Amino acid sequence: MSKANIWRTVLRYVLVIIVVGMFTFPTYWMVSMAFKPKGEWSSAAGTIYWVPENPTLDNFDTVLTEYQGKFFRANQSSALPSIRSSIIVSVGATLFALLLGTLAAYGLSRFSMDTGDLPWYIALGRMALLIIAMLPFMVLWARLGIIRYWYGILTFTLLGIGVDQAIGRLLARFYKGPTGSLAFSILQLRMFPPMAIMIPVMLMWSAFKLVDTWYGLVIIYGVVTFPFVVWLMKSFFDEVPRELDEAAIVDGSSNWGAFIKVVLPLVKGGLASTALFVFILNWSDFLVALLLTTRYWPTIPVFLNTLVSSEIGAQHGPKAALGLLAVIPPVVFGLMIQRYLVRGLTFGAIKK
Amino acid sequence: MQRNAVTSLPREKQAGQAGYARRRRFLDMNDVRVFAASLTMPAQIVLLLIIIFPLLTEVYISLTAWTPTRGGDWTQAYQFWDWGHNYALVFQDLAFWQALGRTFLIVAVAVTLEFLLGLGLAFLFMDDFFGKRVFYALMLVPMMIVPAVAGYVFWLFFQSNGPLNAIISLVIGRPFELTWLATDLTAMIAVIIAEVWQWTPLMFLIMLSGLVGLPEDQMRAATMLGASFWQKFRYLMLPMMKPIIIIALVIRGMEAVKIFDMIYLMTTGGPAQATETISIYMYKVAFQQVRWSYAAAAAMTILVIMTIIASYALRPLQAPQRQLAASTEIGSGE
Amino acid sequence: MAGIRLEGLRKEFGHVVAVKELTLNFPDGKFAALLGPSGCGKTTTMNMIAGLETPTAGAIYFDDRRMNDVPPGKRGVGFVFQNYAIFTHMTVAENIGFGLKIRHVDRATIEKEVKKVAELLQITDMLDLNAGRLSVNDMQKVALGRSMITRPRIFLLDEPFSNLDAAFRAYMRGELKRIQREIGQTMIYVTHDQVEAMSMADNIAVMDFGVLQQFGSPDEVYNRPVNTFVANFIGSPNMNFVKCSYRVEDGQGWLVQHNGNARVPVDDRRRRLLEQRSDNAELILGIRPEHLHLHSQQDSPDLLSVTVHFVEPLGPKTVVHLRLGRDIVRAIAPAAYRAATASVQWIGVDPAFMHIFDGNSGLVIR
Repeated sequence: MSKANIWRTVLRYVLVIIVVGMFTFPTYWMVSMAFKPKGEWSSAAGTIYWVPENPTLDNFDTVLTEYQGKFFRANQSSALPSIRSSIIVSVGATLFALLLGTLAAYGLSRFSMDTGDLPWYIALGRMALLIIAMLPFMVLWARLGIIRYWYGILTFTLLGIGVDQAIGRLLARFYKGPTGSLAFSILQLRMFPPMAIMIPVMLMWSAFKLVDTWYGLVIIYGVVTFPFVVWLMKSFFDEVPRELDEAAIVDGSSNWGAFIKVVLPLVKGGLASTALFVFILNWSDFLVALLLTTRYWPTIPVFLNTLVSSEIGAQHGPKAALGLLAVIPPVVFGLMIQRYLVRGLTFGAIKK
Repeated sequence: MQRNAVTSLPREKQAGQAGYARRRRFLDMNDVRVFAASLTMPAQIVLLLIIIFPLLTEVYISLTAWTPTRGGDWTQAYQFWDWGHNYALVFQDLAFWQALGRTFLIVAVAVTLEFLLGLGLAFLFMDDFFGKRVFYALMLVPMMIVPAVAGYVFWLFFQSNGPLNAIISLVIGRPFELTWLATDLTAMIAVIIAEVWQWTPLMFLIMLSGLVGLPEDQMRAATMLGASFWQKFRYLMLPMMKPIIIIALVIRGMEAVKIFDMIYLMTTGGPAQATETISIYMYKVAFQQVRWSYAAAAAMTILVIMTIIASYALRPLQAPQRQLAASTEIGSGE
Repeated sequence: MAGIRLEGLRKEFGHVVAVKELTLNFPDGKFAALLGPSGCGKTTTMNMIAGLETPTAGAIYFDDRRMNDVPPGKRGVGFVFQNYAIFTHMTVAENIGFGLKIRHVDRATIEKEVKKVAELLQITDMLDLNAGRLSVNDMQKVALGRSMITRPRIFLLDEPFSNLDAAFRAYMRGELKRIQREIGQTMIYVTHDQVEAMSMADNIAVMDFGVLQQFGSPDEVYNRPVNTFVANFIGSPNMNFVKCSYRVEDGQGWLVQHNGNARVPVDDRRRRLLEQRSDNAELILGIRPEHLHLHSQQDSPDLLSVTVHFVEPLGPKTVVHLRLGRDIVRAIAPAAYRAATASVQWIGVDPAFMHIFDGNSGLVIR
C-alpha cells in the first residue's frame, strides 16, 4: 500500500468515526436514558450521567405495566395499548398504501403518457371551477342538514366527481394541452402540510364514525402515503422492459397474470425499500394520530406526548424506554431488507 | 371457447374484439383498456373521495366567520357568512407570511446541509472498509427514531444544563451554559440541527445508491487516461449524479416544508414565534386560538401556494420519465 | 514507442492462479495479439500491463523501466475496453479530448488535436453529438480516438471488436492495422478469435490456463505449433489429430493408427528422434485438413482408405468429414466436390506438413 493510500484510509476512518459518532450520540443518549434509574435522569440531578451508573429496567417496567382497567385512558402510564395501536395501524396503512400505489404505479408506467406535467394555472383553474360549481351545493346540503351525516357526504362527493369529470371535458374543449393529470394530483397530495387539511378531515371522519378507530387511521395514513408508493414504484416499474410483459402475454398469460407472475417478482427489491419507507412514515406520524384518536387507539407518538402531566412530572426515563422500544420494528424491518436498499433508490435517474 | 379466441390474439386484435367480448363479460380484464383502468381507478377514486369533500368544506368554512365556540355545528356555518374577509385577513397577517418565510428558510438550510452531509458520507462509504456494516447501520438509525421521541431527546439536549452544553464546556475548557431554546437564532439553529440529524440518513441512502450505480467501466477508463480522483469527481461523478441529486433535493424539500413534530416538541414555535413554521402556525390558530374559519382560509392559501410551487418543482422529476418515454420509442440510435 | 517485457509474471486471485510465470517480450512498435480461450489469463495479463491489476509476483518493464509501482494513469498506456466505456454524458468531442483536458492543455490545442483524430477515424461529422446516443460501431471509434489522443507509446485493446457486427469487424481490423502501421505504436490486442489474431498481428502469444503456450509470428504458430493446444486452436477447420504409435515394419518407420489400421511413413530425421525415446508412448499425428489430398481412387499405394461421413459445402470450399478406421478426419475439397455418404475415398497425407506430438505432454516432436 502506497503512502497516499495509507493517508487516504486514515482520513476516511477519522471522518467516518467523527460524523457517524455525531449522528449516533443522540441515539446513544436516548438508549442510555432508557436504562437510567430515576435518580439519574430526573431533572433535579445537577450532574449529567454519561453512562448509567446503575442501569435498570425500571423504565421499561413503568412504561409497559401499570395497565389499569380494561379501557385505556390517555393519562395512564401503560404503553402497551399504544404499541398495539401503532403496529396495527402502521402495518395496515402500509399494506393499503402499497396495494393502492403499486397498482396505480404499474398503470401509470405501462399504460399512460401522463408525466405529471401540468401547468399550475390549469391545476388551480380546474380546482377553482370545481369549487365554484360545488359551493352552492355545499350550502344547500348544509341547509338541508344532511351534510353532517355520512349519506350526505357521500352523495355530495359523488356529485362532485361527476362535476369534476364534466369540468375536465369542458376544459378539454377550449384548452389544447393537458387538462388533468393523475400523476400530478397524486404528487399534490404529498405537497400539502397535513395541518392544512386536518380540519375538514376531522369533520369528515367524525361524520363517518372513523374517529378513534384503527381503520380510520389506516385510511388516512394510507391516503397520505400512497403517493410516495406511486412515485417510487413507478420508477422501478419503468426499469422493467415492456418486452417482458408482452412476452408473457404472447405466451398465453392474462394481463393480471403477466403483472403478478412476471413483473412483480422483478421489482421485489424496490417493493421492499418502498415498504420500509412508507412504514417508517406511518410509524412516525404524530399530528394526524393526535387529532384523530382519543381514548382507544392513540399511537406511540401520541402516547409519548401524554407522558408529561402535572401529576407525574417530566418522565425522561420512561419516555426514552418507550422510544427505544419504538425503534425496534423499523430497525428489524430495515435489517430484513437492507440488501435491497442501496441498489434501489435511484428513482430511475441513473441509467445502468 | 370464445374467450380463448380473444385472449390468444395479439393485443391489437384484442382491442378490436373487445366490443364482442364486452357483450359476453362486462369487465373483461384482457381488454387492455379495462385492465389499465382497473389499475388506476382505485387510486383515482380514493383521490377524489379524499379531495372533494375536505376541499369544499375548507372553502365553505373559510368563507364564514364560524368557530366551534360560536354556536352550533360547522354545518350551520352559513349563518355566519363572511365572504372573503378571512382571506383579506390572511393577506394582512404578518405572522402568517413570516411563518411561511421562516419555513422556507429552515427548509433551504436544512436540506442543503442534509444534502452535503449525505453526499459526503456516501463518498466515505463507497468502498469497503473494516466495520463498514456497523457504521452503515448506525448511520441509518436516526431515520427510524420516531420524531416524537427524537424531538423530545433534542429538547433535553439543548437544555442549558444538557449534554450538549456539557460537551462544549469540555471542549472549550470553560463552562458553557447557553439557553439554546430561549434565544431566537439559537432556537432556529437547534431546530435545524434536529431536522438535519433526522433526515440526513435518507439523503445518504439516495446518494449512495446513485454512487454505487455509477458505471464502473467509465471510471476505469478515466483512470487509464490519467485522471486523478478529483478530476474523476468533477468531470464524471458529479455530472452523472446530477439527475439523482436534483430528485433527492426536490423530494426532501417537499417533505421538509411540512415540518411539525420536532418543532412542536422542542419549542412549540417559540421563543415567541422564532421557530414558528407554517404548520405550527396553523395548528396554533386552529387549536389554541380556535379560529377555525380563519385557519381554513390560511390553509387554502397554503394549498394554492404549494400547488404553484409543486408544478415548478416537479419538472425535474419528469425529465427522466420523458427521456425514458423518448428512448423506448426511438431506440438507441442504431 | 516502447518494447514491453514481462518477467515471471504471476497473478493469483485467492486460490485461483490466473497467470502462471509468464515471461514474454513484445517487440517495440509491433502489433501483438494475446490469444486464447475464455479464462486463459489474457485479460488479466493485459490488466497487469495497464496497471489495473497488481501482479502477485514478477515484473513488467517498458523499455527496461520497471513499471510495477507506477499507477495506471501514469504509464503512458492507451486502453480500449471491451465495452468501450465512453463517457455517455459528454459529446464525442469531449470524450476524445478528455485525456488532454485533464492534462490542462489549452482549449485551442485540444480542438486541433481532436479534429486530427476525428479525421483519422472518419468521425468528424459526429463531434458534437452526445456520445451516449451513438451506434455501437461509432462508439468503438470514439473509444479508439479517446485513447489515441494522448499519443501513448503503448496501446492495449481488450477484445474491442467482439461486440461489433461481422462486416464492421472486418473493416475495423483493416483500419486498426493501418493506424498501427502509420503511427508505429506498440499494440497488444486481446482476443479469443484466432482469425482476428492471425490477420492483424505481427506476433501472437497463445495462452491457456494462465500459461503461455507459444509466442511467434502467425506463420510460426500456424505451421510450427509447439503443442497440440496451439495446433488445435489455430486454424479453421481445426487440425486433424489421430492417435498412433511408432513401429518399425519392413525396415521402415511407421506411425500406426490406434483406432484403425492406417499407417503413414515417418521421415528419417524424425525416425531417429522417435527411436531415441525410451518409452513407446502414444503419439498423436497432426495434419491440417488442407494438407490431406482427396482421391476418388487409390492412385498410389500410400493412399489411405476412408469412407465419407458427411460433406459440408462452405461456399468457396467444401469440408469433407471422413472416417479413417474409427477416427474422423476432415479434408478440404474444391467447392464443387460431391461424394456420396459412406462411399469409399482415398486420402494422401503430405509428409512435409505432418506434425507428430507426444501423446502425454502434447509437445511436438521435431
